[in-house]
Amino acid sequence: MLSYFANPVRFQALSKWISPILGIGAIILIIPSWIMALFIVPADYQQGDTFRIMYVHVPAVFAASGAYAFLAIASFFSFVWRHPLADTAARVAAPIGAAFTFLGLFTGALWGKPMWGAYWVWDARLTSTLVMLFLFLGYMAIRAAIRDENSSARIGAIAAMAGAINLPIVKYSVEWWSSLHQSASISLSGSEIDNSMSTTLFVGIIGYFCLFGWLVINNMLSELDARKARALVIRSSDQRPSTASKQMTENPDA
Amino acid sequence: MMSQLKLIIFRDLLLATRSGGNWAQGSIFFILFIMLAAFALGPDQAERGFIAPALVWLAVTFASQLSLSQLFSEDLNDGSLECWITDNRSLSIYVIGKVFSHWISNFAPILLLSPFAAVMLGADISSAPILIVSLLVGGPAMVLIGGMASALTANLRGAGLLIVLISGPLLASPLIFGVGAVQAGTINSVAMKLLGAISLFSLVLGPLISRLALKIHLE
Repeated sequence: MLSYFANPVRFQALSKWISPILGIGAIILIIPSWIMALFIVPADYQQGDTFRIMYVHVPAVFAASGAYAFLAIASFFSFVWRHPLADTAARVAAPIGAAFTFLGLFTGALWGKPMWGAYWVWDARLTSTLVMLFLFLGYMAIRAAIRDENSSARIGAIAAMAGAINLPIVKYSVEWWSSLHQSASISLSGSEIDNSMSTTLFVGIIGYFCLFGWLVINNMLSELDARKARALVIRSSDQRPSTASKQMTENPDA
Repeated sequence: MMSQLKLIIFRDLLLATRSGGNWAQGSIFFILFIMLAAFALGPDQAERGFIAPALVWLAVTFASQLSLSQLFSEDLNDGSLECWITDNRSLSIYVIGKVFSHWISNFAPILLLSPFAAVMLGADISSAPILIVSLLVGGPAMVLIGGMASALTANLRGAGLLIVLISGPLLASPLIFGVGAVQAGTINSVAMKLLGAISLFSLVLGPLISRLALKIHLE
């Protein structure tokens, strides 16, 4: 099925439908989640209003881990089956994932100051998330450093897959080590927090994932267009010698 | 298989002895790092003694990575790697041999210097054995992860900083448990066992990934 969509033309046709759905989904989920978070959800009995930053923090880190998983899986497809489209997906996902990771770390720091008394502690969850940010940046650096497109894709894919080791560490760090960061309050089987809180959080998380998907698809489309434009430039430069010589004969002064 | 391993190790050690002292660069960097760290921390010996194992581990980590930048690129550029492949020899053996001889020529001198560095920083001499054991246990992880980054960037010129950029995030866990093992003070602490686990894990994954990367460069 995936190889069916690996065709760029089919992908472009399909993304015409999916992109607006994800874009509108992101808007109609994220904005209501903000409104609910700021006005409807009751204040926490211990943390007061400070905890409301959770509605930015948790979805951002969820989307960040999801982005790394996406990067690793796309790299796997690009490495094993050599689909150029999978490689494009991996390459555009990295900066977006890095941005989400940074947002998660930053809002976490803002939340940590009033709650833990420190912007940053070297705790397993925080450290592994910071490592994830550097993995994204390292991937981007290696992609930028290797000029040859084919070898850049393959080497980058290996680096991304090797870094996937960090993902379970991010996820289970709060369970493996006793840590300052709280363990997960919500899971698919149920939640330990108030219903209105978990609903708002779920809406936000799905909204952030829609936003991630929308950004990835649109960046992929512009990447495909850029590739087409490059191909056109190359094709036209192939014809340039003849036109140039023609101009020379017609207009010797120029 | 063993003969191939011996071949590559002896060849690399011979090259190291004739390289005009390239193998010592990591050690010199290590000593420089320790010296500058001591200057930065100021003259309070007691305070420095407490963080000495952490600083030594940090210095070893960086020194081991910086000396790795030329590990595979020379063989890739002068064609010896291609000869190795066309002789139907195993690429995994090549990677393991390469990393092992690098460990002997570059990492072992740093290892021998490390207790002196720790004492110079004000650590108690009685902590020296545990420091050496922790570096012996964690060293394979450092050179194997660095070797992986070096293989990934083998076809790039001046990849030194990029190697640290790739291997750095992965080196966080050996560093954490290595320092933890020294501070625990006993040989069979949990941190030491985890450090050994990381080394064994990188022994499985490191050569595999390096091999894949070198194959791509040879395509």
